[in-house]
Amino acid sequence: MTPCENYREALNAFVDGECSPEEEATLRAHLTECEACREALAELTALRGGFPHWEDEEVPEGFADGVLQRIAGTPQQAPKKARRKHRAAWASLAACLGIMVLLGTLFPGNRSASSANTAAPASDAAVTAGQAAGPQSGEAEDSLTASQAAEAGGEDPSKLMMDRAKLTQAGADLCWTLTADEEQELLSGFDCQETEEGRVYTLTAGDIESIRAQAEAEGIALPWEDSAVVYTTGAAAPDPTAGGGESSGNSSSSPGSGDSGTYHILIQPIEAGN
Amino acid sequence: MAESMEDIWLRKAREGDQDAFGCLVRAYEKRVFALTRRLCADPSDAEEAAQDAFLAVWQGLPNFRGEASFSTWLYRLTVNACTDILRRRQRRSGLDEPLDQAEALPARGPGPQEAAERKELRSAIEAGLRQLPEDYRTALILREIQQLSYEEIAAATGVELGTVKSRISRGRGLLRKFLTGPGNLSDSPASNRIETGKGGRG
Repeated sequence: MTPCENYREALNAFVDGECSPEEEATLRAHLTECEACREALAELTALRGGFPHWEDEEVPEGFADGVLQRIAGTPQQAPKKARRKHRAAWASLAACLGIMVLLGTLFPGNRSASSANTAAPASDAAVTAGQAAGPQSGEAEDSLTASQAAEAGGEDPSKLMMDRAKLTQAGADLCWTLTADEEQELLSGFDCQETEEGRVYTLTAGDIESIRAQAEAEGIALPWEDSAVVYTTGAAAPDPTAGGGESSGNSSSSPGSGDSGTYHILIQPIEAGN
Repeated sequence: MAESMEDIWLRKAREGDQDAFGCLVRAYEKRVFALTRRLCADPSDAEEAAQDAFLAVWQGLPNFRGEASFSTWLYRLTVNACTDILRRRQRRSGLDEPLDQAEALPARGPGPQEAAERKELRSAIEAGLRQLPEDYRTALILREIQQLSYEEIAAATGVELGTVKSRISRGRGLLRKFLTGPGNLSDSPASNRIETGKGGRG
């Protein structure tokens, strides 16, 4: 017999022991006055009794051995927890970068000699960031970075991609745009390697902090004074409180960064007064 | 609290212990087959789906964090494995499958006549299950054969609790319609068991 439509689900839940106390009370009250639902309840109970049980199941002989043979050549997945964190960190980094490039655009700051060329530092920083984000962050984030940088500095995104390739070829993490004098003033005495793309300095976070302090004292604007772009990209922001050169995690993927907290800075020379 | 045997097998299997995994397979193979045999009409598909499900378990174990019970997770992977195979077979219909497999199931309960009726009812239910839409069938199998709660079924199939309720209710309604339809149980004593509500689990 067909039960009342309003009670159909409740009847099923009742025979399954899934009714709430309120539902059960309502249903019981209804059952005292509805013969159709009483019969439906009896039918449902009978139907349940006709079902087989999993314990009756027969399994082909040797099934478990077959499964074990299949898994013998199948590696297990690597635990995802660390990878997720890593990915989340890169996603945050990329998001920060986007914001900072934008901030750099909106508030260009007080660049002196090196900032006279407004396009170059912004795009360099973004290029660096794109490289730092590297393979983990995915192409979409990279291209977003490039286009944002292009917007910031008026650069053609395809040019930025080329610049990034240049940075990679140089084995660098960051690019600083400096005049020859500024370079001499700030970086003489540090390890330097000549590459086809330009000079690449190897610096620790402590070195960078010293250089920044010196630059500030001498009124030389380094790219990070425009925005925090440089600090959040490349080899990561040196933490002044850390006193060391801990990278924020990109050193393993960034061709130019070493494994001992050092950062490789490609110098892009510009003419004084630009 | 002391670790259960299953917890120990899980922990070891997660670390790559294949013997421990073998224990898990043997503990759950009947339950998995109870599901794959009814979701995949073809017996070879059912076995392949069962193997695929256990393979997926093996691969995913290092990332199984126990947020759901192991059995719920296993059922979910089993349902997925069946769905994949059914899709690969372009949802090959099992409507015309013979009832041999269902008839071969051992009958339970006392008395030859009652046993025969129950066997007949069981066979008819198996046939009726194969007629149901996949979602209803899965929900009913998990409820009736695997004895899962609605909440466990929701977790195993990835749907809301209300959807489970609805699927079970509608699935049973369709099953009843099938069983009492012409040519099924309508002319047999087993039909009376349904229509008069004299059945009982056994």
